[in-house]
Amino acid sequence: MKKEAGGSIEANEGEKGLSFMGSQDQERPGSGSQRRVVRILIGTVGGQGGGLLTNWLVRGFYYAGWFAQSIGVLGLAQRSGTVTYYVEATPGLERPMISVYAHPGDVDLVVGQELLELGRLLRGGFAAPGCTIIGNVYRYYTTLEKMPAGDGTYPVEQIMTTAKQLTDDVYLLDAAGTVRALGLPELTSNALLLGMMVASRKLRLAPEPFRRAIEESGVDTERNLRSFDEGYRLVSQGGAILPPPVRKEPVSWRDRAAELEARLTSSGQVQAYRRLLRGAEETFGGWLMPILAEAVYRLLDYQDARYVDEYIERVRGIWEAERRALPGGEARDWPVTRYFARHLAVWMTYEDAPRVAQLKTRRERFRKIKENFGIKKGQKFVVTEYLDPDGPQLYGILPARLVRALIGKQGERFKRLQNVKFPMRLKSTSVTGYALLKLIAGCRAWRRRSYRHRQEMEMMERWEAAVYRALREWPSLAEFAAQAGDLVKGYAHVRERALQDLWMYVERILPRVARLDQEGAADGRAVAQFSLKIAGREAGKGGEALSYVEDVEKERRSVSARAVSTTR
Amino acid sequence: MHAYTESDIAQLQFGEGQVLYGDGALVVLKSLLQSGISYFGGYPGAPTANLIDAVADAYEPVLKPMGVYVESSANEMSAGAMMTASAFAEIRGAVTWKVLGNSVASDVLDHIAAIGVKDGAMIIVGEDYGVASTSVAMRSLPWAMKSGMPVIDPRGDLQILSDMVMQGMEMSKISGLPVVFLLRPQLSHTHGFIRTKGNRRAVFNVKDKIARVAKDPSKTPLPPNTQQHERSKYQERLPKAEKFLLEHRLNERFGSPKAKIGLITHGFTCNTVMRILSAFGLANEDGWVDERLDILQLNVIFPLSERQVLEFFEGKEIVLLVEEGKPNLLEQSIRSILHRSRVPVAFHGQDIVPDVGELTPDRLLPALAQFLERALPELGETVQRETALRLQRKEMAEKMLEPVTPRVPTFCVGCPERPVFSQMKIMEELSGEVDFHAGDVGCYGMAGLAPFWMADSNIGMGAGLAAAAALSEMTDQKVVSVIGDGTLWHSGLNSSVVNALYNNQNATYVVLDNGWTAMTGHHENPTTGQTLTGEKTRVRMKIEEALRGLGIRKVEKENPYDYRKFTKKLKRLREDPEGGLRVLISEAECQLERQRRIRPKRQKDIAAGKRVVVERLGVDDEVCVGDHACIRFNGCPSLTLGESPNRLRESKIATIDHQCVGCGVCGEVAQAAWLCPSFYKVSVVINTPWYERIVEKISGMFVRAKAG
Repeated sequence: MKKEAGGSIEANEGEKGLSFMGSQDQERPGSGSQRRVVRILIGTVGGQGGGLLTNWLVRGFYYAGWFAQSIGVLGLAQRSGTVTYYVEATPGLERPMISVYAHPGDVDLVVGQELLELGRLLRGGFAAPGCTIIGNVYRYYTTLEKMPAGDGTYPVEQIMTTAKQLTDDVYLLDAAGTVRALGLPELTSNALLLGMMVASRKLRLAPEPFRRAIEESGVDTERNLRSFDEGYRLVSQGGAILPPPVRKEPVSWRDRAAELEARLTSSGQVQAYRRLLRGAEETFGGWLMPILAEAVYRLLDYQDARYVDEYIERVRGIWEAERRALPGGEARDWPVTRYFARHLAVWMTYEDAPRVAQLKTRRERFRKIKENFGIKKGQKFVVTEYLDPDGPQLYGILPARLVRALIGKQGERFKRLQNVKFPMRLKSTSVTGYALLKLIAGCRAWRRRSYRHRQEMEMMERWEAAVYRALREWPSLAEFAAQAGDLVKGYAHVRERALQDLWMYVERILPRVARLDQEGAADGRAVAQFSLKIAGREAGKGGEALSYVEDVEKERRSVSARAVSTTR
Repeated sequence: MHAYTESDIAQLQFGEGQVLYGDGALVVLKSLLQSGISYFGGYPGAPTANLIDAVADAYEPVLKPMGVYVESSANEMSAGAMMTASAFAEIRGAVTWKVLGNSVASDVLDHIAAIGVKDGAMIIVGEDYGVASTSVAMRSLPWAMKSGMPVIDPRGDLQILSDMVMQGMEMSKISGLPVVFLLRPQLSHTHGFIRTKGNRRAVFNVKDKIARVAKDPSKTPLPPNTQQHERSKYQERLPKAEKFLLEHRLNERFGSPKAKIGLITHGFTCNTVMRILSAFGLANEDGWVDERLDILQLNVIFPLSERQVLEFFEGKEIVLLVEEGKPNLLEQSIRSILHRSRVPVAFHGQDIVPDVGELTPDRLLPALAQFLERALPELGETVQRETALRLQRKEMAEKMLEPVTPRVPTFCVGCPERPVFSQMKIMEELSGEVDFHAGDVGCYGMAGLAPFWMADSNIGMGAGLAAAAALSEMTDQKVVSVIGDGTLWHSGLNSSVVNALYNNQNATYVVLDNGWTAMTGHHENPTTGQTLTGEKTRVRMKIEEALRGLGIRKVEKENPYDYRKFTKKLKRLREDPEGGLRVLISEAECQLERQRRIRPKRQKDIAAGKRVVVERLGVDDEVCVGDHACIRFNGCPSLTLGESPNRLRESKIATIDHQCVGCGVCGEVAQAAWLCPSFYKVSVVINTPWYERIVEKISGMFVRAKAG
């Protein structure tokens, strides 16, 4: 705009100003046709090529005869932090008065290289009315999302809905999937996004200058160009691009059962599976079958048909109790039975040493490894397992009577044995390593008599008793007792702590919540749900959940105390 | 490491009127060359680390032929001290560091400012007051003011940036004062175009040497000289700087000088104000400003010319100063000028403008709207409407979206620093004993974030261990301090180690020796064994020898990737009953640098048909139960979440993505923290030789699952 720093004041007055004032009557200032500068905001994850993408864009603008510049707010860029690039571009090479920051409600083209980063920009309120939003629905999870046990990820559906609410020009797609379908590496998805940006209605520029920018960068040129062309095509042909469904649509349980059946190895098992499913359907009807189809398969694969019968029997018992305690449960799809059936199946297939060995020596597993690691036929590969069995995991395989005689009924003898661990690196692709694992896997034949099995069964019964008690005494909270079965996760001491959380929750927290609920002092279901969420964040958080409930109690007490004092 | 391409660097040779494309750092370097520097030094730190990269990459092709002396200084004090060259001869030069370095260099700079420079000297300070800043928030203005050094804070525009560097150097020459140039991250990381001028070769340089530096006893900072220096600084040299900035119109004016409403801006606030004004129809993208307004943009924020201020206030009824941050020295100075001259004007500053923190548009918009409603009541409705229109987009989005999970930075994939914190966390988890973690400044400062939270204190370069000096005696906890090699050489050796030894401090000191100053984007340091310019150092400094040289007997070295051995040594040192200072050196190269080196070599070997083993880790999706304990002890970006094949599980399971470099930490964590048997390592042999193929075939007969 001005040639020299400290340029003259006169240059700023006069004609330009007057013509602008003249146009002001027709146009709302700051928008409309007199606006020349296109403002682009790109949200990226550090180290994922956002810098290259922005560089292509700015260079391309230059070759297209535009003035452009980008500003990167890097933070700790290469260490997976959030990195935002802000670009301003305008036709002609004269320098406009740029703004160093993106302004709220003032960005024409909002781009998210990753879905959460798009959400961050949208929440920042940058998107101008009538802007274009381009987003890659790919998720690169943040550390804070990954840390909680279970699922601590951000509800991204909100981001997609918000994008559509903010403007009518939204392009959301799985860039990584799109380029993969073209046989291109995922890293070229940045070029795809560039193509989409260039073709979008805010720019509608010819592709050549941007292709030249890609060529000059010299980064995987040929494949990036192909990806760019695809992005350009997708948007310029105006094909509506819809994001893939975030969660897979459930297939019918019968299809799923057929899929699972095919995994069973012997014809005897297949027969048993069919028979058991028929029986289950007769007992429960169709509503529980999506869970039972999975559960029966797992249990059969884990042990045998008799084990499945035991399972069905237990689920039936709970269902009967639920029917008695909560009439009209059909309307709510029997939540207690559902949760119980689901978590009992997972618990009954607990991962003891034989189970781990069984899973680690599967043909299916090696097939997956070869696929994931791109191992070709005839190529040598070695799989080293990081195993870490401890005393209880090893002697757990032995018959219960023997172990009890050894360590005592309460485990009071040989305490050291319970705390000793045997870290080992075992090559499951070697003849000896494989044979050893196979041997351990074979131990499942007498699993029922093993010490570990007795222990697990006792604990399952304890949980089951808690669910029954809940159904009897405070049925409206019973589904949380069943749902709490999901707390049981992990191996060794992590699992020990998770179990303590479970007992804490079903035996100490729920009764207190029930009391609060019955006194009408709090919304019992809400408190039960939130405290379960706290306990589920990480093994060992049961105490925190308890103190949350105590806080609620205290608050209620002080509220009622205050109420008493004011009436006086 | 090369941050700039050859073609980027080639542009530094451009002459009059050519178009250079690059980032702010490249523009600054080009402008320094245009103004004829003959030395450059500094200590890397955001947001000027890329300036050091540019200098390193330009050394061989551009700077060396021009005879420019370049050094990567041991710390900011060494860099500042180098400017002595400019005090004793007609030598022009520049140094750089991030804002925190101001304090480190203060001692020497006070002296240099006092004795003065002859041909210009510039300090490019990485001013980082922003929300994304990786350091304590502070302004350089008070620091520069107390030493009497002019401060340039340019408007956000690469061409202005370039012009201001050149003008600043002239101002330094005329005033005899070193000039402070504030390079903010946004400008440093701006990519765009400028028009260049020809480079100027300095009269004196490494090739054209000075025969003899003239003696000048009057520069000795002892009585009777000291008061002379002070007088000359304030009575002669600063007035010269003021005269220069007025004559060369370094501060800009927009709008109409006859206007009754005034705005004073500095640095980027000018750009932000202009953009907001254009939202109200009071400015536009070409820099035009409504004639009812008059804007004074201070590209030089110190010295503040009393003459210019009074001239600007002539005929004004109401003026707003948009000053970013505290202390608001511009406001205080202007207020005192107005008071002294009894100017009757409504003058507003941080009574309207947010006083603490970066002036981002969302914070400045309502403030400016408030001012304009007062100053231009006839526009009130437009201002209110446009402000609401812009801010309501944010309100709307906030209603629809939950707060977006922060993406905190984390250690790189395969980083050798992660296993150190991972082991400390596992030790604490298993023993229940929690130590006081005295952190220091470097990549490992990220240990203070998720998932480790293992930097209880982090108070300044090299001061980590010293920070716990009193605490070591006053807490029942054990003190463990972690420092990196770069920071140890910067100042830790003296400030922390010598201090600890001299005062019998009882602590465990873990030195992370990865061979690089990695935090700033990989810079050489004394451990690397080569200088910024790629020259080998004559002495290869070794941390172990240095520490033993100081007399520490308990110095151990271990590979952090080996959890069993490393944890054992760490435990032994930590629990040492004799007390005193015990050191464990964690020795493993920065993984980023390592990958940069080995990847191309591996590609070459594969192409040449050599036997190459590639290793990566995996998680058994059926064995993983989704408790994510592994992630809480590790935090590797490549260890992420996936869907469980077991549909009865509600949890997402752990999975390892393609970024894995096979460092093995996942497996070590699973074993050391007593977690699970889900992890495995796959070693793929590329170009398997024939004899191995035969062995494979035979073993495949036994291990049928593998062969199938």
